[in-house]
Amino acid sequence: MDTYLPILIMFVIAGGFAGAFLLLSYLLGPKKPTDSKLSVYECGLNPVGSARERFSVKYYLVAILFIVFDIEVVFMYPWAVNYKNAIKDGHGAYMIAVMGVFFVMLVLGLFYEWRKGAMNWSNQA
Amino acid sequence: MIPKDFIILIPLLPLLGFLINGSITYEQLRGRVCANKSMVSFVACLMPFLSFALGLWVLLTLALHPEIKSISTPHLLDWMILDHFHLTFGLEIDHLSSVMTLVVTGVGFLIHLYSVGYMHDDPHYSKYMSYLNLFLFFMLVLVVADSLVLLFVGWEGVGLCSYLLIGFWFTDKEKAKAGKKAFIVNRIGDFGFMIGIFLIVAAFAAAVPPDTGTEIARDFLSFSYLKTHAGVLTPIITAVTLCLFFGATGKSAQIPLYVWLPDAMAGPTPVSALIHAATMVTAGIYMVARLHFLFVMAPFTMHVVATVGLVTALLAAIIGLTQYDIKKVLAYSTVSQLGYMFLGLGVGAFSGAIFHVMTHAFFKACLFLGAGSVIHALHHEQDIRFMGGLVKKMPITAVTFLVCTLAIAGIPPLAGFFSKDEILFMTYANEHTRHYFWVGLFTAGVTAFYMMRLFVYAFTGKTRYEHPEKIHESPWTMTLPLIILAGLATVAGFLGMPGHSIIGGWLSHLGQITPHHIEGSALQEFHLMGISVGWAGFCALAAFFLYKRNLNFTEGLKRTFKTLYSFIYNKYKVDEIYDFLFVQPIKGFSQVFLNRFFDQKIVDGLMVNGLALSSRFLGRCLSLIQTGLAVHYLLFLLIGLCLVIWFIVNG
Amino acid sequence: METNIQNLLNILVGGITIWILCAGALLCLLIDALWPRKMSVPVYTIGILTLIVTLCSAWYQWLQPDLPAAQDLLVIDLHTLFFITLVVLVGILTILNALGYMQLHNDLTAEFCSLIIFSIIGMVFFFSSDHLLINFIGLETMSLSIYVLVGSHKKNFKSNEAAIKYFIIGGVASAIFLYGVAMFYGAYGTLKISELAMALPTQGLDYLPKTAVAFILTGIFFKLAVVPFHFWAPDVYEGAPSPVTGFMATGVKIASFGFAIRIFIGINVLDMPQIQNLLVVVVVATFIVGNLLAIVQDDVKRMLAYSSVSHAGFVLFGMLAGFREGRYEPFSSHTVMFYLLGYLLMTLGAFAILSLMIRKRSEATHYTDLEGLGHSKPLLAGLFTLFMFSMVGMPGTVGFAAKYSVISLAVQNGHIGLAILAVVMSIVSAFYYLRPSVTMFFKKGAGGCPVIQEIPFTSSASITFCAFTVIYLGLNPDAFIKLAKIAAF
Repeated sequence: MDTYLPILIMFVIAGGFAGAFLLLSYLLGPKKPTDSKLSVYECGLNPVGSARERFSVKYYLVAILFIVFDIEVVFMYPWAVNYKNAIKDGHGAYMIAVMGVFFVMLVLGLFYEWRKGAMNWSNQA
Repeated sequence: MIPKDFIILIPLLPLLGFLINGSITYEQLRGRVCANKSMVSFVACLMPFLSFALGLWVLLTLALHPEIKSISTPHLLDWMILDHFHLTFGLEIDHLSSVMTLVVTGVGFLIHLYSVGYMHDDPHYSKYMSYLNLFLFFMLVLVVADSLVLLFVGWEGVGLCSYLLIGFWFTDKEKAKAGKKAFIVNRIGDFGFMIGIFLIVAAFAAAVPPDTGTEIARDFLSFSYLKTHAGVLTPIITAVTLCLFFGATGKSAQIPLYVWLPDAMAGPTPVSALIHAATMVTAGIYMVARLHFLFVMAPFTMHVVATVGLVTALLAAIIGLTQYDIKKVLAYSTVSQLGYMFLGLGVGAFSGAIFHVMTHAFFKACLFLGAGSVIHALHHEQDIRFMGGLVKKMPITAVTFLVCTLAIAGIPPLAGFFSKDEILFMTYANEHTRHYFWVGLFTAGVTAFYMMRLFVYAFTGKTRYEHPEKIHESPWTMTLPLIILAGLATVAGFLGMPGHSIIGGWLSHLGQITPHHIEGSALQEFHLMGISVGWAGFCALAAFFLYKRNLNFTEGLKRTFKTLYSFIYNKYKVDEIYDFLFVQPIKGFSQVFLNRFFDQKIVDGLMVNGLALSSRFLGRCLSLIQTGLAVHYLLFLLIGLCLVIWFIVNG
Repeated sequence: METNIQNLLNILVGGITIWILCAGALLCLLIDALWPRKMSVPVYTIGILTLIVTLCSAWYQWLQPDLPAAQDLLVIDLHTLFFITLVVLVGILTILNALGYMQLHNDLTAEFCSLIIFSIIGMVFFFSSDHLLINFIGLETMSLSIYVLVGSHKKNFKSNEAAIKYFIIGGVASAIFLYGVAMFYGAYGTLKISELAMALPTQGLDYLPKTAVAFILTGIFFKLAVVPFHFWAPDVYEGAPSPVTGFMATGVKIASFGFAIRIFIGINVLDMPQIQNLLVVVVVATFIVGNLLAIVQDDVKRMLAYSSVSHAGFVLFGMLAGFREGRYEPFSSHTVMFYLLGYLLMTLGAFAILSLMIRKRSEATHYTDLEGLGHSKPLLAGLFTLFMFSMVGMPGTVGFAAKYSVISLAVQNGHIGLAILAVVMSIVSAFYYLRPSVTMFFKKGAGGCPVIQEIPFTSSASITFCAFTVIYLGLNPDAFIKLAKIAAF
């Protein structure tokens, strides 16, 4: 348990700092609220309606599609970086083959999404 | 030489017949097909015949190759493999089972053929034929089994089929009851049999230390293993054999469980011939002969077997004197003859007993079939007081019936003489049972008397049936089996000629005590033979002339010994005694204690409803936290996690 | 260069079952993508063929004298192959059930098939990998597919609710599992089970690995739905379409046990007395809660959900029974494996029949729906009774053989009290297992059409298979116990 004690101390100090500064700014800062100051900050636009609105499920779909390609890139970066060394070691074909399998699967998935109409915004697929 | 895999076919062919005819029956009940009767008959008769042919092949193989002791397929199926107990199903035909196979399939085939004529007009013809095939299947399984458990499977199977066939006309309540009675009484015997098996298993399990490790599991219950390791059973051998014998008394209708057999005559007559004369009832004999190596280890059991056999033989024969129903007379004579067989087993004449099984199968089947022929001709009249004079109307039936009557009476040179005489002689030769001989001899006379009485009543004199013009001889499918069986009953005896008995040599592995151990045996045997033939012949002749002269000559006796007569006529009131001693107390106990108190109050009230109520209550309480809200479930998940951590880290 | 090609080939040959599954699943997807909504029947045919080929190749590998043993991440040993056989069997039966179900509901979607296969791929990774991260990815692949499958009745409110519920709670459970994995990494700097096994001390674990074990155990308990992690099960099982419920009740549990056996025997933490104590508590709680709650249900499907909870308890009891004087004997896991097989057959058989129950185009599995079924469909009702008998543990059925092997092992190893509890609970279970049969045979329907009207060919195929094997393995259990004994560690 001793090994974790520094971590605990760090947590306490970090929390303490954050809390202390919030408390200090609350205590020390002047308070003159106006209507525009109290309104929700929306990049300078006037807020319309409640923030608790329902979004179209399509946003989620887009988000998921994005994550898939995001992960793909995350996966390919280290691969690409190491590829140079791999060629030197004579592992080039192997690396290409391995990434090929991954890529083919991904493309198949993309193809499926496209055919299923996941990329169409409107409902007619 | 028969390929050893072929012997599987011997039981399987009748099963195939059952499946074919059974599915025809099923489809017919559904109204999908109209059964073609000749097709059904062909299939039903072909299968036993093929089995018979295969059985003959086996017999020839065994006969031509004396070095082959048995033909077996030991590992058909591994049924159960526990640590040291290996239960496999396999088939084995040795000399003993080959004889039984031939008897079962041969007589079985003839009875199938007979049934074609007898049951032809029955609306459930195909069902009947399929049951017969099923019966043969189970009987063959019983005969060719290589272990006690498979034998038991066949044993139970024939019990089932006998239930189905006795109660075949189940719309008649009495007949359905007879089926039930047979089944239940048999179950009581089976209980003993099972306990015997359990005892054997327990003895072996105790004998094998559990830590023998690499030693391969063995099949305690296969006959070959039992035979070589019978010594293990020595301490409990008497209990084991008594239990097994109790099982045999159920199936083979001996005292105290013989009561089902007379009632079993409710079934169609060919069924009586097949099951209750030629095959099923011999299962007990077969079992004892099969396990002879166990029985000879227990002299006390042997004595019990002999005594029970003897007493059954005598008492059943005496009942036979009084009956008027043609089938009942034959039924009691069956019980009595089975008693002889057990007497033979009890005195160690195993091959003699099996020999008697064989000859008895021939003549008793013939007698029953003859009775069936008569009943068929007289439109289901079974009372011999309303028969008479059938010699002229039904000559073939009458002649074959007479032949077999003489055979069962023990008149030489017919089959019954040889086999019965061998048993009687062996009884005499055995010093412990010498006095049994005289009772057996007396019983033989009684047998001759009542059988001849039956013949005289049914076939001679004036016709007492109300429509004599309607009586006619039966069709060839019925008479042909009669002729064949009568022929067999005539000649089969020569297989067991005293001195150079073929059957005795064939079954020598049963290890009987040969008569040569007794001094002056040949002479003695001829003396005894003379006595028994003379006595049987005297009784038969006496019956013939007394009844020929006046059918009712016993009326005076009946009136004088009215109580005794009705006592015997009602089979010593055994049914009533059993009813009083067992059935009523059990019924009362069930009704008052088990049903009204235990079942309704304790089980229903306290346990079922109480348990149901309390567990329902508990369940309702538990399901209170089953709120259906995911948030709560998450909370429980985290609580569970904390518990697990607590257990693992601190526990 | 050479070694790499060799390596690749090894992976290809060693993992042939997985490649076949992947190819099949992708093919199903592609066909459906190319010709939407037209090729459902070919897609299902391909799916079933894929699974059958997988089964054959697993069998082929089984017979190989020298398996291309441990890959880097995948371990293709007999244990893996045995469990592959089980889950693929589950897959085949589920697809057969689902085909019938969907025909009756007029809702034949091709994705179902590929999702099942994907889920099976996940299961295979779950229990066959040597690397905890891959195990986790397998777990997630399996779970994600099942979340979707649970919600595949898109227009059914209950199905949607179940899917969301399962997704949220399952996500948390997966996170807990992953947390445990991370703690192992934190403690020993490796995620490979084989390396962990060497790194772990034999006695006296530190707090961190202990906590890691607790977290991973929780994740597994959640998937097994044993008390107190069972709360989601009845709701989700009830909401999901019947074939999916059958799939979840069998496949997920089998895969989780496969993984549990691999990791806990692999890293050898089972000998901790704490784990044994925990198992005792969980088993007792599962027996009691599972059985008591099953009694009060009024819906057959929900009853079967609780029954699957109590069966999971029984399997866990099988694990517990393998402890002899505080040490787990890895060989005795064969009883668990056999139990899983028996459980699979009778459960899927029951769910195959349950899948056929439909009234007014929606599932009808309430007890009252069963009334009079024994008269309109006697054979089907009889087979349902057979499966129920098997679940009770009647002799002559596989349920008896399975329970017998577990209980006899427990008695041998001295867990007498638990063995008695198990027997008592089996008797109690007869109370609710026989209720459907009583309803079917002894209650006249209140009129109206019977709940089962047509039986599609595929359903009858799977019911027949299950019934046959339930009886065959009940009479001759050694045929499979032998295999399980070979496959046990």
